[in-house]
Amino acid sequence: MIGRIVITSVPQGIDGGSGFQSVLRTQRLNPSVAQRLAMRASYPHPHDFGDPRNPRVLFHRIEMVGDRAIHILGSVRDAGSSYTGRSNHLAELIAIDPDETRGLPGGPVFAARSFPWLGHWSGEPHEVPLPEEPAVPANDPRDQTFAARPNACAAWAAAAGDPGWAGELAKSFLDGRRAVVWTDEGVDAGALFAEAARLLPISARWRLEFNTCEIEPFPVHWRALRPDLPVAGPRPGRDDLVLCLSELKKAGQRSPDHALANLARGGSVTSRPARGNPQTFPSENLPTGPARTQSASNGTHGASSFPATPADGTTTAADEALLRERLQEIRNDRRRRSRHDGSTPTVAPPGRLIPLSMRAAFLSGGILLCSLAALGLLIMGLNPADRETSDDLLSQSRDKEPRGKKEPNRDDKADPEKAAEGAAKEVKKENPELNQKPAPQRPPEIAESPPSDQEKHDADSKRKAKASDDAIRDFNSVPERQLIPLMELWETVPPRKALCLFDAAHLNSPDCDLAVVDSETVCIRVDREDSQRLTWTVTGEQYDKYSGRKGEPVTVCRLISREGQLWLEWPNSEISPQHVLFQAIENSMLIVSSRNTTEDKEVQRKILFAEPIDLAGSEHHMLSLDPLAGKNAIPLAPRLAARIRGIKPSALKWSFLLTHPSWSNPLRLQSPDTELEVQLPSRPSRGVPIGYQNADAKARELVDLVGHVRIEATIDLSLQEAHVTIDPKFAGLDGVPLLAPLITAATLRKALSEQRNIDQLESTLKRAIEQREKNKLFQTLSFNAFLIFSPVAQKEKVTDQTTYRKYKSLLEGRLEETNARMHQLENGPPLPKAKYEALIKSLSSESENQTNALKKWQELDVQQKEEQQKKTADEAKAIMTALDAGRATFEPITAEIKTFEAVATDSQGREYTVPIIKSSGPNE
Amino acid sequence: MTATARSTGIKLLPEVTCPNCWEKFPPESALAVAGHGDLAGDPMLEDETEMRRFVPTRFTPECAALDEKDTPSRELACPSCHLLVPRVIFERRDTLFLSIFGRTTSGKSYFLSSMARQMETSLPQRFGLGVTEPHPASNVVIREYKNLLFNNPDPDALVDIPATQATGRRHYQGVLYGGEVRQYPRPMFFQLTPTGRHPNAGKPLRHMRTICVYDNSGEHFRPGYAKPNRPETEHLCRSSAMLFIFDPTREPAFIEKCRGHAVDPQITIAAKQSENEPQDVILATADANVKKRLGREVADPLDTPLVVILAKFDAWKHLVVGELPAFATGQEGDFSTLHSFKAAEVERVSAVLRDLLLRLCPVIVATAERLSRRVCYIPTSATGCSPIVAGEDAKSGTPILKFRRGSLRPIWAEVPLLWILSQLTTGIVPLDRPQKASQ
Repeated sequence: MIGRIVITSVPQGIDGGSGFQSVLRTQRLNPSVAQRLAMRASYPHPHDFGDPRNPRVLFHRIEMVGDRAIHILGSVRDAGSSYTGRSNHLAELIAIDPDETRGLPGGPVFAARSFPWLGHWSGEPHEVPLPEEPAVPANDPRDQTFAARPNACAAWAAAAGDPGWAGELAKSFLDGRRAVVWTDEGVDAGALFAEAARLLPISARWRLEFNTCEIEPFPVHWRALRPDLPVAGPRPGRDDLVLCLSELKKAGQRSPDHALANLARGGSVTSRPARGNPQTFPSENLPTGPARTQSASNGTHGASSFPATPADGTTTAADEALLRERLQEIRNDRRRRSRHDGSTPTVAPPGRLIPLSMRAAFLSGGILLCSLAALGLLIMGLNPADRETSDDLLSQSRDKEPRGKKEPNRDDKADPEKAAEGAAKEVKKENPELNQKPAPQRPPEIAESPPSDQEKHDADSKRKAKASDDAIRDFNSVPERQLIPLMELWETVPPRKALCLFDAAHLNSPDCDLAVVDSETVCIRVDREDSQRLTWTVTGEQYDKYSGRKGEPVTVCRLISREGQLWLEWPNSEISPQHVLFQAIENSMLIVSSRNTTEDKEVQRKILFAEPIDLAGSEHHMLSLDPLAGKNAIPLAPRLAARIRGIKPSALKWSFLLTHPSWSNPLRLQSPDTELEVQLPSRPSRGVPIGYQNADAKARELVDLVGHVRIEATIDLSLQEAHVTIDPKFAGLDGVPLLAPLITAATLRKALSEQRNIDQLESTLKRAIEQREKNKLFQTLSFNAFLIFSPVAQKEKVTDQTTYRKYKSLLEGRLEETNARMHQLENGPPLPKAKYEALIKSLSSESENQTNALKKWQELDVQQKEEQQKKTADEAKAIMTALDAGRATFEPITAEIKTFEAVATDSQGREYTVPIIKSSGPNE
Repeated sequence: MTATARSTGIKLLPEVTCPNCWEKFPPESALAVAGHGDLAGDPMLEDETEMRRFVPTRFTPECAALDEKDTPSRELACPSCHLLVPRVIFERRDTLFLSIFGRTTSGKSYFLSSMARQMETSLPQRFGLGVTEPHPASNVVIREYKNLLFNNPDPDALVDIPATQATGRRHYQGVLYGGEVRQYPRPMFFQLTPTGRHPNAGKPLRHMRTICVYDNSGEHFRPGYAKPNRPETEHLCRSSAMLFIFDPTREPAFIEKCRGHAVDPQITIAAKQSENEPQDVILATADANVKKRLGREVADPLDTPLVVILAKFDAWKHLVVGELPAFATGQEGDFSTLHSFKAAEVERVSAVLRDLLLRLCPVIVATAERLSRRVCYIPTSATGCSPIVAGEDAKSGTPILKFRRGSLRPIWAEVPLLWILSQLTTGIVPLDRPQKASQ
């Protein structure tokens, strides 16, 4: 991620201004990028602000900022009213580097849907260091399960009837057409797009621009429109695919049969087309390999078989080549559209007038010059395509490659097989993952000649043997002691990732440049050398996780900072204290070293672990989860948070022991679960009984009401945020409808705290009644109870405080308007007497009626204040009394961290468990 | 051809100012806008629905430019920014560009919509001035504002104008300059023409004037915002007159004076907030930017008229003794005679308000009079009434403020424009000179 920006209306933003301001921003975000992101933050409310019908819009677009392309992912939504009482919205935007997208195979739709958007803003504006920004979700888990389970598009089935339309949408993108999808208000266009995008090859996904509800027009491939909202963008073009989901469903229309449609249906990819469906696609447009059948004898076309996206998400050379060709066509088409023709030359400088005759002369001269230039280029043998401005990321990446490497491609055009092979190589160069991952496996039913297991095994063995040979050769070439600038190593790891962070890539990728986990673990300690100011010695002790014992300390490496660079003393290493790498070591998840062992001719690389964190006795060992504090998050120990950051959840194991005085047995929150539902008091208790007298809306009289207050809470462990959240909800008050809104965490906490001194309760209540603002809930409750009995309010259907005030303002407005009209009549131009008197009489009568209505309302106001005070005291007492009996019921829950471990896998598939914290005794 | 041109020809300005990017260009070098549907998408414009711009080389006998698909086209665009320039800008008289600026929530959009409405109702009825939209397509936003505020048939309807955003296609047009996007505020145009009883009704072409206004977000006027690649407030430097919206309900000294008197929820809300951003900074920023751009000394006031509009007059009117006087001769509802604008009366009120500001916010007076030597302080209320708390935000509990449609009665919303016209033009606003004339 290049950076993130969050914009909403606040009294004071990061830059000090009020109004729509940045409230969260990545530190040192490039101003040009920040400015561009801010430009995409608009949200024209389709409905009144605060109206739930206002859509949340997710979008992805690719933009040029300066001379570089960036991906912008955005989420904009209505945010109710701002601090000024006017419309507000929340825009969250992130910029992603194109290189980074290669590590995000899930694609933009998945990333936009899975990114942890804030959803609402509270708190102080601040900047966030880039390493602390949440990661862009990379892998779509549904991609991985594809091989085992057909990728049925359930959302499409629900919205359009036939899930095959998802395939049709995907195909339109590959065909270079834009698409408009008409959805209804309740339909999640994001889910539809996510399913359709999953059908696309990985390399195509990040070229897809979309929005999930078009309220601000900008050109994208997939536009979602809603019939209840005005169309913001252009009308669909002649070639655009237009899908009206409700009509498709109503008509039961089946999408045209082709490989992607069949995939979307989750069935066999070589299914027969629907009888009588004449629509077919030209074979050259199909994103498919040679495996295609056609049965023209009965007038219907056989469906084409499309090499499905392999289970690991990689693409085959053939579909990559075809995709590349298709994207080239799209690009050319766009260029044709945007290129000026002969009648649209370059813009003339302002202030200069050129007569037509001179223009004609210039034009002739221009043509001559262009001809000469073209001749010159031909002589030089340059490919004109190289000079064209790239308009998408694909062409940009191609342009970055040396020209010499492009030559074979041009030659290959004559030979389709060579072209496909060349394109495949090019794609692999573009996407290093393709080089690292094993060859994609096709499902048996779609592969032309599926390789046998033996062949696959042989190929795999060969690849591993070659990688091992290469690695040994590289290591053998390294002298015993050598200083290597880490910056060089840096270039081999994904950008903006700390070299030694304990993350999934380093742990799980056998082809990782740095490490695989070996069976040994070493605890390290970094000490600065006295003689050398910028040198540190790293010593380590071998650590046996089973016995928990440490071996003899050994010098692991030396870290040297020199000339502004970081140097690794081979096989030792060196680092600067200013650098993030140093922090990584200091935070101490791991550091990587390597050693060449000549005995087994195998490269052994080790991860050197820090000693497990000892949380015993620290405040972070036992987390206190107070249900009366409302929804709140308790952070894990900072050191623990630093260690687990970046480790994917599947590589972590944890166990928390939850205890509470009212529970007979402790509960456990352990991996892989991150959520646990609890109840206070525990089942089968219904809760603390609570009763008082209040208005019953149905009976319209005062009745004795009894309910049971209990807390149903969700305890949630967030590994990404490194905190445990308790989200309490108060339940059991079904029989006490008026009391239900009163019971909040704050009320209960306040009541409990006041029970410590019963003598002060009365005076507290009295004071509370006087301080209206602090007892808003009490007031609202009793006010509402009072309104139920007020005939005036019943007549006007005013049932709460807000509508009461609004109605009062309306009465005042009406009266004022009538009086103004009378004033205008009296002071305006003279009218005929009869007409004047009639008008005055009518207005006077109207004014009198309105004055009476307002008076009645004012009387109601006085009455409700008196009633309110009485009710408030009664209700507060009832709560206090009820809670007095069950005070212990709502004590905080204690969560003890029992274990926290990382699971790592080495190149042999062996699994290792590395303790992150010291175990706190037996895991009950 | 010559005869046709003589009979239907339009008197063009020798040099046209683009109302978007402010480049000056001779009318002959304007680009034409393609008319054929297949020619959508100009490489310089963000909006892909915009038609392609081209240098016209072929014309119909009626002087319409022909695009590459032979479709006649009469729309023109700036050769520099490619944005549309209405034909009225090319014609005869210089356009009056009015810049409205002020802090966020000061009520710029409300003032603009009220002014536009009053222009269309009050000016024809009282002053014999026909107000039309010479290029309706440009006035979409202001029409929407007027619809939202004034055109709801239900007098009890609660109405408001959404906050003007600092970005978005609704208010701004994006132009691509290489890898950079610059957004220009959409200009809105009105044309004033003497009609009916107006003494110059017989010479409308001679006296008609086009007015161009902009609606910016308040965020654009903050110090540090204006940069060469952020031209949103460039119009301030080029305008014929400036209107600074001063919001007393956001000024601590005014809030203090209104405590216990005013019932406007805006004041009670503002009194609880700590955000009250000083408005003199907005004015000082405008002063610095305009003079920097014009190459003037900072201490040297400009000749451009500046109206300091003290907005939301209904909320703080108790601070001024007595009612506002009539700003024109004749009675408000009496349209039988032509009314005249009482410029002297308005300037008397201006002097009173200047004294009030000197007592409560002296820095505003000092900054305004450093910016321009022709300053007028005019009270207005775009709505004429206080907003109603229409509800609370479900999440934050912030009150939602709206206006009852039937209670909307703008106060002096058209006066700033009349005063500006009286300063910059002759023969269009009938002026009242009773004392001198009678004596």
